[in-house]
Amino acid sequence: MSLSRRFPIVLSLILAFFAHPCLAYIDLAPTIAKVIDDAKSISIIELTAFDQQGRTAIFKELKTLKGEPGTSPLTHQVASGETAIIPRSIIQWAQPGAHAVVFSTSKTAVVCIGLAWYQLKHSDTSWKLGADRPELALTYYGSVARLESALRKILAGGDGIITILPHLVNENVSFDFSLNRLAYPVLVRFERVRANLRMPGTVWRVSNSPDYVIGMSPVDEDDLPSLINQLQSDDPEARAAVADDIRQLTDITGAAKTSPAIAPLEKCLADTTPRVWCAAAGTLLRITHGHDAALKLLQSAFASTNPIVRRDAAIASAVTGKAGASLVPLLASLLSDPDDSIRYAALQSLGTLGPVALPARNAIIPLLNTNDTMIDAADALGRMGPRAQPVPPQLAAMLLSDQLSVRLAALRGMAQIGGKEALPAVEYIVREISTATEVDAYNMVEYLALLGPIASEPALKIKTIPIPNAPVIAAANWAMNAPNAFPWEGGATEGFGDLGSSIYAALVVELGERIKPCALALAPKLMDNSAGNVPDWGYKILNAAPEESIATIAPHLADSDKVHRERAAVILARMGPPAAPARPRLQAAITAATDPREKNLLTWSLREITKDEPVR
Amino acid sequence: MRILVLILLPLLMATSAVGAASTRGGGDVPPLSDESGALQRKLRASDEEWNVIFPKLQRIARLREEVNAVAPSTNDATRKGRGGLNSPLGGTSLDTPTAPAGMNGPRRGFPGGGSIPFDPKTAPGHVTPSNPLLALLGIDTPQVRRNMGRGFRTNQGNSVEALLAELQTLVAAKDTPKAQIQAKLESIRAARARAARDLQRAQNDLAPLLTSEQVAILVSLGHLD
Repeated sequence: MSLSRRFPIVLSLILAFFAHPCLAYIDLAPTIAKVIDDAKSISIIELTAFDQQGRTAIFKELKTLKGEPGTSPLTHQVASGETAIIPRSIIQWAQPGAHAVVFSTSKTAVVCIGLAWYQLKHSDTSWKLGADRPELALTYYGSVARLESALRKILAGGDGIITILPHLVNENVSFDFSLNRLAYPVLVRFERVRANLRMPGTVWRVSNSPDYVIGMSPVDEDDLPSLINQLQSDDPEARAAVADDIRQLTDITGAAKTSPAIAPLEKCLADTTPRVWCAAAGTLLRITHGHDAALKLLQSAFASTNPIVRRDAAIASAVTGKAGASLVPLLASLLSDPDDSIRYAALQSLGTLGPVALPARNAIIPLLNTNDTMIDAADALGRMGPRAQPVPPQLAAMLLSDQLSVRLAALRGMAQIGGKEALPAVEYIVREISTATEVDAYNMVEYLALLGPIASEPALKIKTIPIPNAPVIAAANWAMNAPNAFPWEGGATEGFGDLGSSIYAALVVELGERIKPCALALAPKLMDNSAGNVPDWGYKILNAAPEESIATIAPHLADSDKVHRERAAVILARMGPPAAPARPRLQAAITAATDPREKNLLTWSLREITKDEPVR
Repeated sequence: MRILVLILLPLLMATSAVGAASTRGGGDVPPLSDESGALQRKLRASDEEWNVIFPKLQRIARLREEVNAVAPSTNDATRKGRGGLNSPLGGTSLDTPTAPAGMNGPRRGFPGGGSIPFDPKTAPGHVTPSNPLLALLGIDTPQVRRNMGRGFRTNQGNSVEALLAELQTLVAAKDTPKAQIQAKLESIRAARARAARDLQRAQNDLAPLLTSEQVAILVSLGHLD
């Protein structure tokens, strides 16, 4: 290659070299190799006592995987102060006998409790809870037992297979962190990666790399026949877990691929173990988008006198989406159940259901008044989005709390709900962002993006943001100040390549119906080919107004001009399942097409828009 | 000048490696990006068709490189294993990430120069220079911006080649236990089998978009089995 041909590549690499600090704390989250390398000792510990009032957890050390054994018993302060709220993830995990992995130096430690991590700082004689470290879910996210097994292989110089949250170009995890979606395991996907001591130290270099990534979700679509067989396992825990694996696979591949599991799952509705038939009912509703027998079974479970059945039904309802809308009032009624774990399971399911759970809004608002539930309630209301407007005054009052975790929960909730009642959240951000930690400042920028135009004027007062990630700031600027424009026009998004695509792809999905005007403007411009060089994520803007977008695009499937017919087919396919209502027009176009190439393209488009429809 | 050379030299070396990597492992099939236009014409594909077909062909080509991967040269293997654990965050991963605002910390805050981060006049979507530095240098063109964006490119790598490089390292070390070499061999076979399965899936995914003439052309050119 001549030097002149090389010059643009060299220039890009030089610029990328200087642009490297653009990566955010999420992109630079440590891989397991980095955490192992930094830790002086790694131990498996077991919880022997948990004092919720005293906010302490006492452990004994079971095994030392690296370094010298520590002292036992080991006491962790698991709240940031004597009256501070204990993180929900710790409360849920803290059953005596529960295991954790602790990576420590003499001064700091991080503790993996499976689906969450917490950080500790050593102070005099005890370990005290440190800052939130959500990004460590990119280091590992899965069972403690699986981590222990992988660590043994990795420390012996081999490869371990671990599960982590994916941080991909088309699946940026930043909103999962900023909106506390780790509290809703159903909403979180994960990927399997190969890990060893020689792997890169930062997540952005691993999560997208074929060198390390093995696949998405705990199972692969080739595993479906085996999973269906396992639904007949003798072990009820295994049957329930498999039903949920099939649900997760559906989230990745679409219901068309997992529909062979419908009949075997229907048989599980008669299982003797409540957890199995509840999980099967939930998965059936997810695959079919409507299943009378499954729905009736779950409805009846809510009235059970057995608390285990009520809890299992509440948990299973989380995955049902729109098909479970009739379960929402029943879930709301469980918010006053005498059993703590049932109340929380119901609140978590309502939060997972998001906008579908809107009828439960008024039942959740009183929970904002109680210390134990205010954070979870703020998150559940936030998940309902703009349809939950107006922001309840209790949420704004939480901004005055002396506890940072409460103030941040209020910000999350208000940013997602939006509207003029959310202005105190903007004012809080304007006041605090310049002195916030990198993690909190990054999240605040995403909140401003969600708040959109109402944040525009107050945000002009912000002079400094303590994060180096220019594209996320630019994306928020678009959402606040030019939400009807196409961000790729003018070339502002090109300079950040995959990193910029990742940020915008996530933001467009998150903004949803908030960018309806942009969708209305985009659809005709896509059809007349005047929307510029549209990136893949740009087409997803149309999903902010799917009915209107389809009404603009789909008639062109019958256009006399073949170019227009093909263009319409590709645009609909890029929209994906939200364009499913265009199915009859696509089918008619396929019938009418005489050119085999055009017929192929139209058929592909039909497959893309119907991939989440079960084939029975 | 010396600093510039220090920056440019490794980058030029890396550039050579990028060029070499793009042609490696795919047998005699030319790199797709070099022949995109010609291939579209051969297939007589419309622009709309090509926008769908081409990314699928690229994925097939990448998976074929994985299936056919051979061990990298010693230099490549050495480079892969070096310096992976340094994080620009500073400190250790057990510490909280810190990012002081302004220009003096290990990680700079934004914007650092007194401009307004959320200025409506600079919001993406407006036709303004996207990069003040490039504008100042008079090189704020789409081509240069796209090249900059390539610095953030992901999805690069080759699962089988990476494992083969690790196997080389294990074999070169005298004290590697046999069990570890055996485990690595199993990983290599599993990765190659996975790539072969994904390659088959990727071809199945593309097939419904092609006419039999197009399939014949792609098979004869080595792009499809």
